[in-house]
Amino acid sequence: MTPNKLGYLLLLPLFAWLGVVIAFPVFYGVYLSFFDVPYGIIKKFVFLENYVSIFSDLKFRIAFINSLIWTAGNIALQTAIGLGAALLLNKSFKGRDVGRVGILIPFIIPAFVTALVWRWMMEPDLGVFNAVLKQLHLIQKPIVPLVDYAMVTVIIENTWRFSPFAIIFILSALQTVPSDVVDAAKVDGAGHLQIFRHVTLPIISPFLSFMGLLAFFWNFNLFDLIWLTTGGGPGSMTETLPVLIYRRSFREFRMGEGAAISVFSFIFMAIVTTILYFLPKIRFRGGKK
Amino acid sequence: MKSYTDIFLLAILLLFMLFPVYWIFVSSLKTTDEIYGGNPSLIPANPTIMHYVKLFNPGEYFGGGTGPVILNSIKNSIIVAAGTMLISLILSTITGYALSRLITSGKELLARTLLIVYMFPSTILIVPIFQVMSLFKLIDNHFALIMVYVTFSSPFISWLFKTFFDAVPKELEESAMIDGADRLRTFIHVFLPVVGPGLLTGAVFSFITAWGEYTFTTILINTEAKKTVGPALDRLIGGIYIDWGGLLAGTVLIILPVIVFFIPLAKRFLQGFMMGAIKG
Repeated sequence: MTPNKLGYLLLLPLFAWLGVVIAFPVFYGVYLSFFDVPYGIIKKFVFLENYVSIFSDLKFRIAFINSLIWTAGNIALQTAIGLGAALLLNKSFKGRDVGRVGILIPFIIPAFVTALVWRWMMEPDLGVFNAVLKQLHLIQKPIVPLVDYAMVTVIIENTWRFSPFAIIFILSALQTVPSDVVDAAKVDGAGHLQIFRHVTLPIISPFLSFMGLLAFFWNFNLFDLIWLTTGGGPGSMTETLPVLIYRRSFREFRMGEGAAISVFSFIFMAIVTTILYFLPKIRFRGGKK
Repeated sequence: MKSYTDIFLLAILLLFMLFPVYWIFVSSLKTTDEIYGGNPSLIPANPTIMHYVKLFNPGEYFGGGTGPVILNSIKNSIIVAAGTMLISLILSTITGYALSRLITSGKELLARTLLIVYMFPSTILIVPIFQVMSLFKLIDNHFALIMVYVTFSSPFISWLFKTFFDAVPKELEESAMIDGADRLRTFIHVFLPVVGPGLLTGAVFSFITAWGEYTFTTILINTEAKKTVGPALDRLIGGIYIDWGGLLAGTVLIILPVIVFFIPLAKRFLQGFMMGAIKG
């Protein structure tokens, strides 16, 4: 057997596994989106009716816009914190190793615990957040972050949980920057900012773009943290597409519509991914030839 | 002088990252009066373990007797997380090795196909996965959870392992083969030692993924005795009334084992992760 064939054979177990748990459910979901499925019972074939009804649904449009804000806000914040913290933790100074371990802690805290503790901290009367603001005389009467600034609060909460991943990812990327190149740039009189822009950034940018892709997938599809923190509320303020899918399917039991929103959401992600990640590579290769 | 700026920045970063966790611990040790009194203090005025005692007192009106349920759910979560870890490691090792060393045609496409898994919202998968599991008679079975969690952790770990294997010099592999070792022995004696530290990273990643998952476990597990840590706390949230003391104490019971398990491994977890990036 050639190595190539052996390789395909070794891929079989995982791909078969993913086939059962992912591929089949996905096709089944697409199938469901063409049916009227009240309470999980396939009633009748309605072809595109579910799609027509979601597109004319204001809630759907709000959720889509919320999803865009949510994803953009999260990726921006996570990249900023990830980059800043990784550059800091890449230096050698006292306390760095403790810091490297410390920043990992949110990563091991389950989503439902995160939701709980943020709700606890943001409690208007009992929470520490308002107490601190009052102590600093920044506010007169308590604010309710999860009502007044719900989206921002949940974005910060999710960033808290996802940042460790962003930090260690970028920190790993920074290990690939050869120190002799940095030293040579220093000898040539380059400042910190110049070194970062012309030496560090070009080397780590493939990692950043890969991380960006994962962050896009994970943030866009994030469900549990939002659901457990705000349930999508108040009103529809934090209702992103995954939350809406869940509400339609398991609270209102309109599973056909839920499936249609899922299909839309997947197609949207596929288009964005293609534009951002696949097209530039093709063009790049074309240019090389 | 410069190093002080770094330490200061690190302190701010750590404050942001660690304060919520500190706050769970501290709040769980406050008396009910202090919890509901407003003006929370950074250190409990009269530290107490009353909320922990209450969880283990079956006679208590609300939330009483939840302690044993939580401990049992921790046991269940350990079983599920360990199973997920084991299967993920095996699948990801062979997948990473095949993608890195064996497959020559369509390698990049296959590696990317793996990541498409993360493109599907988990909410679309709930209904069909429930039906697949019913078909296999796996509802209320921990293996159903393991099947789902392996799906979510393996693609990423496979990608990570692929980069580890990429870092093994070709000469090392070739010289072992010339010495007469077959592919399996080369794999065991040349590749496994190199990815050893990385295995730990993959193990921790999959364990954590499985440990605190909430959505699928609420759907696939019904029996109280089989519940994992996520739903175990639900009974402490009764409608509009939240018993914060009991809830926070229960939360501590749940996160303490992972923190104790993780801290000693954290440094090597990070090293493994950074090793994976060397050859990107």
